Amino acid sequence: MPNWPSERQLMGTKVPRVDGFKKVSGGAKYSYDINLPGLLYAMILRSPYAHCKIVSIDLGPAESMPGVKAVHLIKKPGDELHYAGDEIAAVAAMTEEVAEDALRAIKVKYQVLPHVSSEDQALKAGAPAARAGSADERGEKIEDAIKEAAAVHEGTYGCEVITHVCLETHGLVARWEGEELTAWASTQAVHGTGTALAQHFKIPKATCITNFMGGGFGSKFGPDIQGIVAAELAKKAGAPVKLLLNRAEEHNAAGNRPSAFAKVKAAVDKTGKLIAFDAETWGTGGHSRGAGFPLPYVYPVDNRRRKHTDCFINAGDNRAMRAPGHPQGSLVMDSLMDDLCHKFDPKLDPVEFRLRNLPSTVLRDIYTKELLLGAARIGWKENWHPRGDNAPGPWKRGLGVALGTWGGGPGDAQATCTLHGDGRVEVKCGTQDLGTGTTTVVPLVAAEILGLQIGDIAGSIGSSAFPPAGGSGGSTSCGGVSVAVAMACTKALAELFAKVAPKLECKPEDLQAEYGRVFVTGNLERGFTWKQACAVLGQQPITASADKKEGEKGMATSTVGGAQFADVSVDVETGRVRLNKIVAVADCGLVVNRLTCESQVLGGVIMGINYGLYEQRRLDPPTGLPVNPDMEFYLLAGAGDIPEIDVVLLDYPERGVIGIGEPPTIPTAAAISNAVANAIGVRVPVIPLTPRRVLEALEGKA
Amino acid sequence: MKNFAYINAASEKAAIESMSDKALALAGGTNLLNLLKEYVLAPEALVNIKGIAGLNAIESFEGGLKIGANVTLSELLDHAEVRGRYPALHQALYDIGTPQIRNMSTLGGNLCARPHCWYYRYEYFDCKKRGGQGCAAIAGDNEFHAIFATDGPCVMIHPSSAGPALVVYGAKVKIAGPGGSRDAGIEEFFTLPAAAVARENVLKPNELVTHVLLPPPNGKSATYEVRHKESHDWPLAMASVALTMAGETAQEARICLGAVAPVPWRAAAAEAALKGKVVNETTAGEAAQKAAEGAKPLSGNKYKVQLVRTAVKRAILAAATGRRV
Repeated sequence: MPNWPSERQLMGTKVPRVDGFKKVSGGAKYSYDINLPGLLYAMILRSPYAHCKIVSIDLGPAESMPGVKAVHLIKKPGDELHYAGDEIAAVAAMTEEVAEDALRAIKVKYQVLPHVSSEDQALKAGAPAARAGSADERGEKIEDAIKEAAAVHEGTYGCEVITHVCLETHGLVARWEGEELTAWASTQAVHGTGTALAQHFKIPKATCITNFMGGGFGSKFGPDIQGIVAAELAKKAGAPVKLLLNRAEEHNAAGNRPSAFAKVKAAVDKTGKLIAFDAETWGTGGHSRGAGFPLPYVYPVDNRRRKHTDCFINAGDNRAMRAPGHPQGSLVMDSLMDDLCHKFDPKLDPVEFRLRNLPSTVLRDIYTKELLLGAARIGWKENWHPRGDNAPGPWKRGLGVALGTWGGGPGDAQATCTLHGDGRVEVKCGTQDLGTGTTTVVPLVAAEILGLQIGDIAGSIGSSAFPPAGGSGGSTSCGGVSVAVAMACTKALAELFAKVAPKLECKPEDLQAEYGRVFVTGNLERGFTWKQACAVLGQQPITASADKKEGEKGMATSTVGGAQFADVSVDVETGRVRLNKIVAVADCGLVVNRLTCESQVLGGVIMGINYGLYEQRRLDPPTGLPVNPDMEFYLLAGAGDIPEIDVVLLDYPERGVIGIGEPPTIPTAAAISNAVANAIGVRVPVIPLTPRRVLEALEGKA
Repeated sequence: MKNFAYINAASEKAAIESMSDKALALAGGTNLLNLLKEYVLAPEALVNIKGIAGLNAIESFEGGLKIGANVTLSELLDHAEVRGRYPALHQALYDIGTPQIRNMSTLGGNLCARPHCWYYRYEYFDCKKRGGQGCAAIAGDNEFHAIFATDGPCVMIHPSSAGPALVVYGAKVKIAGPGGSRDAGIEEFFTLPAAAVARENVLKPNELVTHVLLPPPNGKSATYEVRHKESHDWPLAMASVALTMAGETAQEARICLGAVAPVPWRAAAAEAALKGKVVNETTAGEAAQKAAEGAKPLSGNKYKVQLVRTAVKRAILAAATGRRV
């Protein structure tokens, strides 16, 4: 079974991003920055109503406008528009300003239809928009267990819809050269996007390029309507077209994380172990997509029942968002666990309560280690108090904890490694870097296997012209890509060894590559420098290909657990929550690049802070139109809102590589909510924890 | 955004001659450009007033200060006399926007900024300010709207953070128009929607704020702002307080609220409650209760009543003690 080198020079160390300087100096060209000769700018006309039907469209005024080069109809008369932001038509023009003027000149007659713009409206009796999603019942003794329980708690919890807020919005630049289509897309899947474009236009191949990418978080897997439209307009106009969404479109039409609400009744026995769980849950994922999320979450319970309802409302559809469903499951479950613990025994330490309820899986030991380690780092023993801080003054301090779990197994990936006679090493893989650091992972792993330095490797990713790799979703890229790269380099090295061995009068298996040399194991002197070794290749380079399947068993795995702790202060006279510190203990097996790995955890925690305290997509109740599709009324943490974040990576090198992108964002909001409850003595049931909600919860208590 | 002509005004006179309801003054642009991009405003021309001599200085004036309308918020924050003698103003400006925004925004712009109500800011909503039939905020999402003067045609909150501080200092606004220059008391400068729903102050389309006149401060002062976020956020409620003290007793108190009404909202009952009292937790708390009297919250902003009480109490104590609470 293949495995990683037992002694590693680079993997697990802190390696700065190879493209870091370009990113901070403006040298990095994102899809948004691609400007081609004769480029046209495209924009999309969208529904101004939450729900309507198109009666008629007159494109004439746009088509005849000077500077307009192509117009494309997306919907036709009679079509229904399901939300404010639904696509109608698009225009490509010589400037953005002309394109926008042209959109506003298009004459559309609408028949306005009744709309539903909130979960409550959807759930009201008679509303056609809520559909029972699923029912799940296991164990037969829920009622009995509740009767015999030592403590029963009933609570309602909730999370609002939030959006991805990718700093680079969705879209692409499309260029046709004859029948060849090239797209510079902001995408998490260069191969998937290239293939989808080729299928749509019935051409043999479309090339998708993503050299730099400004965030996707699960919302950018295909060309999307705007990508197809850009390519259609480019074809019609005979010129390259740029179509990237503006901020409002990004909020309204480019995906979101569904809301989640739960009315839960749960019980524990006299040992403080969960024995019954009965939940009614609902949420909205937009006009056609569901709002499922895992529940119960992390903590097992045999007797359980759950009824879930998807609320279909006139709003943009959800898309996968960083650990889909898990942050919601974590918020509901870990809030419930704290409330249940308090009900069972107000003096019982919630960390101890969790230790009593851990699953009996591989995660048991991991969670235990994380809970104890994190508790020590946040100062739990010194500062935890039973619910409600009795200190004088308006600021109340509290601690909270929550857990999360994720897969993160190795995704599909192939790679090639080419060794040249002059010592150059090229590694290619058709994956992409969402900002997670994959661009650095590729040369890092190659250098590790070949015994070189990162600067010796020319790594290439971000194009569908390179060997196929899956979309970067589910935290699967790092595992798949590092294994594929390692296997390709291992194979290329074996071929090199076969050619070098005769020169050193040894067998190929006696050779090793390390410290920039190829030498006989045990005798560093009996060998060549890397360049000298490669010189045996002359004009015939070695290229080896590999699939991650060749090495995934042993080199990568899945299933991680994480624990996070929050230390907060709450001003009970204003409802304001101030974060003092977050501790994030994360498990990701063998760490590839410690620097970007920690950076992923930091980013996940910051996203979790936003989820817990600030973000909320707001639709005007009467009209269903968005009131905050921007970055002013849609609140996001700024530098001053981020506390000290203490990242602790558990090292489990024997587990192999596991993805880390998603798990660190899962438990943050729940840990904050629990810390707030611990501080003020009452649960604020729905996140984000705004001043209004905190004050209302306090008022309910008084 | 609609195309517009760009006029560079070299003098007050030139600016006034160019300005109209279709030709708007442009200073820092941090508010106006957003409104143009959102098609909320679509003027034929912008009149750049940044080049006008004499509007970008802070000068001593009758024992107080004469501040040019084009002075940026950053310049005010860096000014030793503003920081030392006018703490309520300094504290009000301190957290506005971001450093970049404070570098561009001007004092005149802060006073004349249009509402940041989301129903005003998105053209697809009904808004009387934009000539619509009703105020969408009343039946809509009004968590951040007014709790005072909510029976008028518009329930915006005035966006000026400097306004309440200028009110408690008794500032005047120098206005230049075709007929020359006049001074308006700061409280007369701001107008309620009931007076004229399309505007927020007394300025006519061809009038320009040129200076703010600050009389010498008469005692102790402070501002307290409640906001959700630390970085780049708007106040949920704020209070500026100026106290004329005799020992520990407040001989006079001026208290003005921000972010809770369509104008900076003078809290006269709170002032009366504090007058003649020794300033302490109890009397500050009693004045704070009075400050919230008369509030008529909307469906979603009852919590702001509590924020008013907190802001007033903390501002009074901060003024009296000189310590930020």
